[in-house]
Amino acid sequence: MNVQDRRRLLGPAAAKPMAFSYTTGGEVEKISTNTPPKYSEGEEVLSLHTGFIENCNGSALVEARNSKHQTSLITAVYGPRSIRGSFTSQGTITIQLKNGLLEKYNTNELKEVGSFLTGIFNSVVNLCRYPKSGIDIFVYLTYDKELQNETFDEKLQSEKLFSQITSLIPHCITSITLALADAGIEIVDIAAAGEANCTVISFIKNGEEIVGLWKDEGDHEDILESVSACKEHYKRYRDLMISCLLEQKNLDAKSA
Amino acid sequence: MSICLALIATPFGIKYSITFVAQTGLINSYPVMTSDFQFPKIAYPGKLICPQYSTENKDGEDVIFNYVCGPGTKLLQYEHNGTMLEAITATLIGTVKREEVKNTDEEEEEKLEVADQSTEEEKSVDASSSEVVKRVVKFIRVSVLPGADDDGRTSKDANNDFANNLPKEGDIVLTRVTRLSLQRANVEILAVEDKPSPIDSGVGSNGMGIIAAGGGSGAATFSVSQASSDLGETFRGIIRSQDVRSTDRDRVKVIECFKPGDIVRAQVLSLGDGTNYYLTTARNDLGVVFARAANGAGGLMYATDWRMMTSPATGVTEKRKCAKPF
Repeated sequence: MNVQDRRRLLGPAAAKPMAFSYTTGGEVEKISTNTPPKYSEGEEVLSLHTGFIENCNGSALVEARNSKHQTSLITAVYGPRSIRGSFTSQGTITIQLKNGLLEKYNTNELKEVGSFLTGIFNSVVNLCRYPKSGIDIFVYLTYDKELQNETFDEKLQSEKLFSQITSLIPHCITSITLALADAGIEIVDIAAAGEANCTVISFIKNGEEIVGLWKDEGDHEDILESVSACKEHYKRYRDLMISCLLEQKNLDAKSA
Repeated sequence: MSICLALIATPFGIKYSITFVAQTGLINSYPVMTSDFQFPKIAYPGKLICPQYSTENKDGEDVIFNYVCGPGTKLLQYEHNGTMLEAITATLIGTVKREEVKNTDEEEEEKLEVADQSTEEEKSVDASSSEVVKRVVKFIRVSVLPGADDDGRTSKDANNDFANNLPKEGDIVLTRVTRLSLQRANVEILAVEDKPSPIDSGVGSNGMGIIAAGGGSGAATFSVSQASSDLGETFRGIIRSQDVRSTDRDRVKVIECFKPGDIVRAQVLSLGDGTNYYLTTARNDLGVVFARAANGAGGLMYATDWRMMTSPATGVTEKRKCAKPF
């Protein structure tokens, strides 16, 4: 069957693509913002970078390290892009988490976290500004390691796993918020979350509104105590994010 | 803002006077209507910029500022001491810009004399000329511009931010024709002509007047989509045959109006269906702006009248629904 492409105007059959000279060494990835590590009373060191991936609309790198645990997350935001199919009067968010390392977390668990994060950002992103569009967010877990001595007790291992995935979620939220702000997508507030006693609570509006609650198994049942502990974390992360974003903004203004 | 209506009984009847009560204290350090209210220069998502209203007393006149949300802002509700208050909040990082909106529907400066106001409850009240208070309502649009300097000046470059300028009803867009049928032309949207136009960009840059075809100073206000058309990521549109022109609409032959590859300036009629925006070219300044002869194989053609284009190299003419170039 002779199928001819009638949809576009093609050049002559013998046309060759233009060849450019090979660029040498110019493709070093650029880190536009580099906030110095901040130390807090909880000994957690957080490092935030934005705008270092060229081919997406917004990106963020969050690296966190405390005495027990070290994590590194890359988030890329694509969109708003047109979506085909049924009509949507406001934007649609999809969040995908990918484990870049070993099979530490199973896929179901990551999907669950992904849908939890989607729920949060549905109420944070100003979706009515993006009709007929989709915003795609990809979170890539590049590094995640326990720094304590390895234990071989299975029960302890599984408990640790729970604490790990909950300790990961606040950093996911931080990095997605940063990437969205970097992409210039309208968000009603800087969303952040804290983790306490296997509970993750995400806030906006200076801690007045809760946009997400994640509860894992844990022996701690006093939810109000967790809320206040999470709010402390939220405020700290939010202030760090704002200073990071404003620093980038000032840098941009100077370079322009 | 609360308006206090005070009724004063006098021997001659009942007089009234309206005073604006300043309400202070919104959220934390955000006073609603104190005179020392300051606009922030730089805003980030979640930053409270201003209340919805504020008042100022100048030369015996009450000036009411009604702040309207522009791009990069949203009116959100906040709870403070058990009451819900509304404040304009930033949704982007950037510099805050304020501009007065010229309201075309009403008078831009609506001077109302209290004595002339006749709401139902006041009809029974005998107004006195000695109690006249002049009131001026000003609409101020508050927006957050990501590309602006600290001084509030926008950069010279065209606004490249397609993400926050998605096509909406009434917008003028530049499109490329991808497919034709007897009933419609399918197009892909390449750019949106920006609503806010620089002062010196010439007539028509906001899509309301007549503009040079893809040229002139108005072209600076086109923002080019960052979505590559090769990846199928652009927004698509449909120009139905009855929307091609405003006269003789039922006798439109789509093939005599557009050809694949033409660049068409069109206006958004509606958000359309799931896939397509519905567009129209039924206006003098809308239609084909760029076209090549012989289905794209020939040279660039120029409009000679509203339905004819000519290639200056070969003299060949082709039928198009042209946008008025000048």
